[in-house]
Amino acid sequence: MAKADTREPGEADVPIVRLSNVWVWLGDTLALRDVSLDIHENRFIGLMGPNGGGKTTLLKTIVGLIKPDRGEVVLRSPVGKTVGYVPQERTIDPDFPATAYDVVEMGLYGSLGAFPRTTDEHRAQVMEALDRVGMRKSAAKGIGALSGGEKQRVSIARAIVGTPSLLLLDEPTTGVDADARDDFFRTLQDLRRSLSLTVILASHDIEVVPSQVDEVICINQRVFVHAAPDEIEDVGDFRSAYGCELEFIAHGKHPHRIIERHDEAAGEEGNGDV
Amino acid sequence: MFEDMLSFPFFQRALMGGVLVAVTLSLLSFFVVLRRISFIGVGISHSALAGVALGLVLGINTTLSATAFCGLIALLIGYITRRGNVREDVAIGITFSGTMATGVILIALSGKYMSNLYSYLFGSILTITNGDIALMAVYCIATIALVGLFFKHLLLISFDENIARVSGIHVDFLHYLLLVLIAIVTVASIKLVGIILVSALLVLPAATSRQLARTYRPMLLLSVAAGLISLFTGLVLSYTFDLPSGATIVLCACALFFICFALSPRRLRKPAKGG
Repeated sequence: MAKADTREPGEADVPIVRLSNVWVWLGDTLALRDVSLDIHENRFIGLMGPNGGGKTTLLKTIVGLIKPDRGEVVLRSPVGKTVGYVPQERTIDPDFPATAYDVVEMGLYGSLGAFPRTTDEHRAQVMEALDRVGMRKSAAKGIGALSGGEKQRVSIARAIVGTPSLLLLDEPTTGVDADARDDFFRTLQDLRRSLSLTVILASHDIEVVPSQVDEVICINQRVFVHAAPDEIEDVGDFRSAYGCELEFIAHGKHPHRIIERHDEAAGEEGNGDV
Repeated sequence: MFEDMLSFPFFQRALMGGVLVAVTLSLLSFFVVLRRISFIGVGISHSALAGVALGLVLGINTTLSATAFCGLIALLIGYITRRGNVREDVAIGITFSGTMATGVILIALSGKYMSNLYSYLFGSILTITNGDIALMAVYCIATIALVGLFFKHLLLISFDENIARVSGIHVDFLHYLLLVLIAIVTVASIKLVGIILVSALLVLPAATSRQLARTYRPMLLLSVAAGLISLFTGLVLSYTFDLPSGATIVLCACALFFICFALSPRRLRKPAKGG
């Protein structure tokens, strides 16, 4: 499934995603204000911010589900062939009559032309994708019978089965316990390495995400922080974005500094779909 | 008794047309149930009355006028529910009552006594002609072919439209195509089950099969089986007890749904899970 590097000389300098002065209104609500970002190849980006701060909107704008009212989004390659998108787990209908295998196979339909027909080769691709996320044994299980974490793994398998170069994940660890979350990040790091993926992961989990990613982007309508976790000297901009008290805490489990919230909102599990 | 029934040409025509319509409606009902657009089906099917009435007023073929009108209403409902800032149930409620009212007014304005209005509304196998069978064949085979060609894409947009869009699939085209196909098969089914009752057969076969099937392939096959069982049982009972064919077929489909609901492994498993 690993892809050959077919880039032209100098292509590595071209960002895989470039947002230039992007403004998005959702009805009367301003969701993104003058957002400019360059996302470079093979980077793992943690997209953070408070609930309703525009994380989901930013991901949807990158994949073309939302058209910016102003500004532009440029992807190095067309979305359908190069982008794997994993929406929030709660958007999966547990009553849909499909197995994990069926869901992953759907990830191939867009690349199979107008009247898609699947072959043995496609079936092997689907099983390989399920294998990569540790769900091979659950291929025949109905999606309604899977736990939240398993559903997310199946969604990731669906997103990577078409061998994308960019993977976008929206709140993939919401509602899963700490062990499942750690497993999830291990799987994701393995996928990044083996498939040379650029990953943008939206999460409100500010305690864990900075310790996992190459770059942190913190947004609340506009970009407050865009830096490598180790380059963040103080949490002033985070504090402005979140509108609450934050501080660096040294945790034994992770080598990086961890940011913790110190207000009653810290325990909220909500994930506003904005 | 079955040989007696089959000896009547009208019953042969009803059976032939019925099989075509039942298979096609069952196929569409699979997507109607998965996409949760059963109320859209009601809105489209009820607009057929205005289409038929328009044909009467203009003095043109009522099937053609109903096809054109239903197709346009299907596109209008599709547009309003996707692009408008009114809720889907409100949009369909308005369209549905508006087109029914238009149909009644047009019939009144035509000044013609519409002796077969009842059969348009509730179906009558006695009125099915060889021409109707030919029309059903053209409409149903075209619909089955299009659904077959686009089946996987329709399945994906039923699973998640956003994922389908990101995959590069033309979601809006497929949504409108499905609505127009519902309109076409509605018109093809008028003589058999009628305008009022056809929407039931756009829901019941797949709702029934969903009770028994865990995944989409058996669900699709069982949906077609449920449609055919309802048709055969309904036609036989209709003939035997001299009952209106459309209503009898729909009642058989309802009975089959409740039997499958009672025996549903999915439903019976749920309490054990909760406990």
